[in-house]
Amino acid sequence: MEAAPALVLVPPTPQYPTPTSRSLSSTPVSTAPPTPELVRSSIDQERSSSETTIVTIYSMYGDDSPPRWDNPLKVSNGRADYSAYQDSVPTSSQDSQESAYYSAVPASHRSSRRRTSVNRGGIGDDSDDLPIAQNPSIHRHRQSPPSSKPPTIFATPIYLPQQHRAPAGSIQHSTQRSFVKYLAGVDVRKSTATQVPRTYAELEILGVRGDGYEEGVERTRARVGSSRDSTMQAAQALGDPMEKTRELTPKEVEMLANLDRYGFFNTPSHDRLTLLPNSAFLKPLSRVAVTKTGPATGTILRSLPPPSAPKHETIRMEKWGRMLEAQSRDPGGNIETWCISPSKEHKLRERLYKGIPDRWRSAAWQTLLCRFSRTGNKEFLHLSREYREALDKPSQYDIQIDLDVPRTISGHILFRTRYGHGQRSLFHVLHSFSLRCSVCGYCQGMGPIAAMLLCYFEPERAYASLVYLHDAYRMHDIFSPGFPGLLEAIYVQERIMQEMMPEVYAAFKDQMVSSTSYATKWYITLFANSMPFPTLLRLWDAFLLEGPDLFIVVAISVIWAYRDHITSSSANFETILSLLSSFFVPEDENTFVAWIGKVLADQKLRSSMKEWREEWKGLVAAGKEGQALL
Amino acid sequence: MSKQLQFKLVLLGESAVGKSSLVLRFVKDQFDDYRESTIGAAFLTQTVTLDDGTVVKFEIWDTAGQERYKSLAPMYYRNANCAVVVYDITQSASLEKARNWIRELQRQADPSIIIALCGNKSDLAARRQVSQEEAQKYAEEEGLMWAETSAKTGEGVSEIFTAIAKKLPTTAAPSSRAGAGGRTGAAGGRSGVDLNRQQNAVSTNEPCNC
Repeated sequence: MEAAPALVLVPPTPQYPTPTSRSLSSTPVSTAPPTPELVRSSIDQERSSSETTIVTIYSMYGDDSPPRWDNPLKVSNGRADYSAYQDSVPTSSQDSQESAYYSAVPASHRSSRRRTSVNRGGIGDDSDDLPIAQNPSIHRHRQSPPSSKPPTIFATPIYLPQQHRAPAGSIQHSTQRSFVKYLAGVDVRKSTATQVPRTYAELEILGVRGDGYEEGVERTRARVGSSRDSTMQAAQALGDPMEKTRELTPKEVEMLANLDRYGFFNTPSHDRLTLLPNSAFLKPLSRVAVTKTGPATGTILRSLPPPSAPKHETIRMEKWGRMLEAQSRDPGGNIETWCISPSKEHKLRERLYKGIPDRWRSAAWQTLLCRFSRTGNKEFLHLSREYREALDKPSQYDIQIDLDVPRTISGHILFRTRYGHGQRSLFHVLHSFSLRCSVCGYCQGMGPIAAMLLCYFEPERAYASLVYLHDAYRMHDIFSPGFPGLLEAIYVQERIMQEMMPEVYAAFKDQMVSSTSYATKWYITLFANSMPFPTLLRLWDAFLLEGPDLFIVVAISVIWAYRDHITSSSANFETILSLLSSFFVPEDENTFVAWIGKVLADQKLRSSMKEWREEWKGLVAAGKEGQALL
Repeated sequence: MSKQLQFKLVLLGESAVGKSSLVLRFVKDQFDDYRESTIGAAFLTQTVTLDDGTVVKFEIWDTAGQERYKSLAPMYYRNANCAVVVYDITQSASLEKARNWIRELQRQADPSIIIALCGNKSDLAARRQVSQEEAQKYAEEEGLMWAETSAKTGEGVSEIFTAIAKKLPTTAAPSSRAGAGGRTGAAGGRSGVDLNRQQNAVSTNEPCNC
């Protein structure tokens, strides 16, 4: 057997478009204002967008001491798109009441808007001010630099280390202090809604020190207090241009060496790890007799076993390399979209259930998502633009998203550092997505799904993929208020249980265990916090091909595996619920996933599932759904 | 053998006030800085032994805080014997949310429900936005138990659960709980637990399942 290839971490950051490639696609209106300086300077054109952003800010406000670009500030994920946030640092409580989102308008021009908006207050009120990009006055101002210097402190690189600092005297010390205080999150109680996206946007430019290695400092979630210590801590946690060029410390090297192949430095602690025994999956789903004499509890594991190297990975990589073909290329010849080679189409399903080799996962998922949602590159480009434009708009869910971001996918190096690379991407994807569907908005549970996508896609594609999941995979119904899709899935799940495991169904009924009490999180997070990451990847491989039926069958597989525990004579409400609230660890992932594949290949069952879904819709329409579930 | 009683307890409160952290501290004596958000609700159990040897077993429903999940709450607080409504002492808005929950419980839950108002994150007293006086006064007016806790340091956590355990009826007094209320919209299911059956004192000392 070939040795498994080394860990390949796909960072959630795309190759940012160079000015050339950006001009080929339609440029989002909200990107860095094209000041005359930028257009003229050929040096500028070679700079990364983040650098140009900073130059732009300098030039806009007439500061003639930009950082020295021969030793450019390395910004980890800096983007021109955030320019709208940057000069919006509040200087008074009145300012902080305002939206950060139209702040691309220099302060001198903002005042007129303020007169109309200051008395309204509230987050939702900002919505009619948007989108900024459609405000003609902004474009007008962008064309000519403002005459007066607005009270922006971002124009001065006070966080750059000594060698980048503007000459002494060009910054007022008090301003500097207030900015440090601001970044530490003080004086913003009234404006946390706007402070949240602004903090993420600013740290997108400045970066966070020790990204991936250090825990980082909280600036928004805990609403850090005004102690001098926390202020200093927050200031010190800002990125350092030397961060990316310095030697790794022995501790960091050790940590990198200990990452598992998917990027986890630490196995998140889960309550109750329970084994999904392999023996259960040697028998196909069918009506079988249950025993009542067995124990009521499953086998509890003490710790999560480390992920094992997938079987035959090298040979599978070659096979996938032949099966996936380039469908379209960008003008530079890079592959934009993939498709399944028609001659290999018949092999796709079988190979998917064996597991996509991890280094093909990104391309394969992208292809599967497009197939299922019948979308192509055109739709993707449109959604990318939508994603970027939405970054400039306020979302009523910003605070909630910010509360959830640091507690999502814990243990993964990309998402480890507070406001680090991964956390910023996650915030931005969820922020933009919360503006996509006014019915769904943001719902807790979207986070783990977005994080999963960000492990394989850049933020734009993660966003687009969430949209495909929402539209084509019907996650809309899952996330909508009242969770109609969840109840439908549970109805179908109960019908399968009733048909295949009538004793189990009866046991749930006797013990009064409603399916919602254990299965809600399964369907809303797609088992994200209920199974190990490598298993989830395998399930996602199949999910993207099969659609929403897949997770119903996963739910069935869990109940199938524990059927004898559930029907045990010593089982009760508590044992059943504790068992089904566990974190499930398949003893053998391959057998487990293959079993699910077999169930889903049963066309009779699939058409029954379809009928049951219709049946549920009929019950809902007739107002009779209330009595239909366990 | 000592008497064992079993009660259903539900935790309610705004997102990120520390409901799951309180439960984690109470059940496992652990703390995570960033505990993953609860989806739907989490089920756990823990026992408390009172001075007289009575063992009180809590069947804990730790609910999701986001507004979207509010529609599921009735199925967790219906039939609950006790509720811990949590707010964050550093967020005055979270006390408002707690008041809403308490109003809802007073209207919709079993009339005999014991409600404890719990101000969490007392380790962050430097950032306090809710004074002890304010919360205590409100709790007194409404006849609630009240305490401040810190899931992080553990301060006050076992105390509040023990205080609740002491206040619960020590003799099984099943009330008319079965089938209470209709099915509520989205939640779709009836209460998951029949306390008429379970609340009877059982003499078996089952091991805690967590």
